[in-house]
Amino acid sequence: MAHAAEMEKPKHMGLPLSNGKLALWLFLSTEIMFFAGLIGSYLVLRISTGNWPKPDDVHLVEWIGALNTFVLICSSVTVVLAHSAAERGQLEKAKQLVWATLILGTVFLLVKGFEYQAKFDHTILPGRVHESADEDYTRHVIGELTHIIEEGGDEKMLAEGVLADIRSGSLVGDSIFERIKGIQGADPDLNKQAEEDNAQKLQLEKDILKLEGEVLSAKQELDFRKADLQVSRSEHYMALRDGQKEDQVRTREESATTVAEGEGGEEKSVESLQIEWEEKVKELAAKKQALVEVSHQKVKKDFHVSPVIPNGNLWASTYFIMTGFHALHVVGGLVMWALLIGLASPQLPRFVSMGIFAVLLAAAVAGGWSLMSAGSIVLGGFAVAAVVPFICIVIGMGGSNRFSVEHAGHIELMGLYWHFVDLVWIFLFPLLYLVQ
Amino acid sequence: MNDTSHEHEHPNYLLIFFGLVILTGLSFLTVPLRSDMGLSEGLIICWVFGIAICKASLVALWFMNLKFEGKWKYILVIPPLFMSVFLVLALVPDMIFPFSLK
Repeated sequence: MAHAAEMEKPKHMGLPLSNGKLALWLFLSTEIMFFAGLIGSYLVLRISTGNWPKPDDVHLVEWIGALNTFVLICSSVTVVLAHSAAERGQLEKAKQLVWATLILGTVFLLVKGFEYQAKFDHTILPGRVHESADEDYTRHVIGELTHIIEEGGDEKMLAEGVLADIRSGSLVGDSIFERIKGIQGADPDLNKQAEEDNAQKLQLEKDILKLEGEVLSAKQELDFRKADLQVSRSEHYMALRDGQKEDQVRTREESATTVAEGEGGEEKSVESLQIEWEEKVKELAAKKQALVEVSHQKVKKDFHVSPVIPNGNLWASTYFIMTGFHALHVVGGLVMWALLIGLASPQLPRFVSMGIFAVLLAAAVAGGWSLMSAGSIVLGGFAVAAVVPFICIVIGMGGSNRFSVEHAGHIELMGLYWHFVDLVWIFLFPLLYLVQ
Repeated sequence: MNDTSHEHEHPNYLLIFFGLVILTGLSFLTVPLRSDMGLSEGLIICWVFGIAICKASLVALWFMNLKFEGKWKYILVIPPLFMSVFLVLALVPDMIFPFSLK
């Protein structure tokens, strides 16, 4: 019995804080070590490897990273505001702020999904990146260009040009990728050139429109004059044929001379009109040819041909490991907020909530699967990851422990985890996006 | 000394939020300024990680309430931070003497 009484004594851990908070901070300690391991090994690989890919090389857009940083900061502030509202008993306000957090976290995941999709589109994946422009790369590019040509569309002409140059031997090795990079707009000189081309293209289009009008009116005038001439000539010959009287004929001859003089004038005028029209047609053809040439040099950002990225495989491994684990932490956090929102929503019998959850989850997985089989592998995966937290709300609705002021403590603990996820991103952002 | 997080007035969270947004903007400034002003990479590294540490401190101290917690925070936060830094320092020889990856 004495032993039993001893067992019932509340245990103190030696630290003056609640068990929940202690457990959470111990968990965060292990998390600090976990991410320190990932970031530490990233630093070793990056610093010991010369020629590390720049954000531009791997299609990493700095402002998208900054946008996601902003989204996570917003979600952190909604959490602290939710905690402070719940503590003061403003449960409705707290619930709305938790909703805002859930939505912001989802926005973060969706942005991440788009970023990952860009990596898939350019085959920047661990083990799949070509690190030098060798024969294997040339073969691969020929395959991709053939695919683009088969698909048709805007890029077909560009692909045909590059393919013809590779086949004729004028593009070899590194120059293949230089050309592709130029088309994709990674080369600032070519980008500037493309801007100038665009301006020239606009001007040419305007000129062509004007010239087409001029050609048309010149042609009309020419036709009109020709018809006019025809009429006066036929009148003259009809008079001669009718064998009119001498004086009449003389008069006719006089008038014919006048007509002939007139004709001479007319013919000259018709000739000059003809020359003018032909010149305009030639000019129009030249302008149209120039337009084709200018349009041909256009930069195409979505020209999907694999790049050559020295150390790209290592970059992809570290990028996906760090951002992937971070994204998984975000998903975990979202599930947590979703359960809390469920507790704050009208209660459902447990078996009903579980049933709805199962059906919705199956629907989400089926939707994600169809997206994946349609080719958007990453977007499909991220769509499921983004929807699952929302369907977790119905599990929360089946919970019996309804949302109350006592949950302020839970929000605080969940918030600590969420802020930690934000902290990790605060370091990942400069590491991956800003330092070159 | 005890769990004091509930005994203080909540700080002005919106002010800290604006601070974080401005700091993010300042670190993003290095992207256009890098080429425009020809900033050296060393300066950029100091700049962006200096800002990252400021942002992390703002989040940890105010959002995670560490500024107002009891002394237990040192026991729970300092050892893992020390070990993380130690881990990275222990890897420095690997950074200085590059190994062959192939």
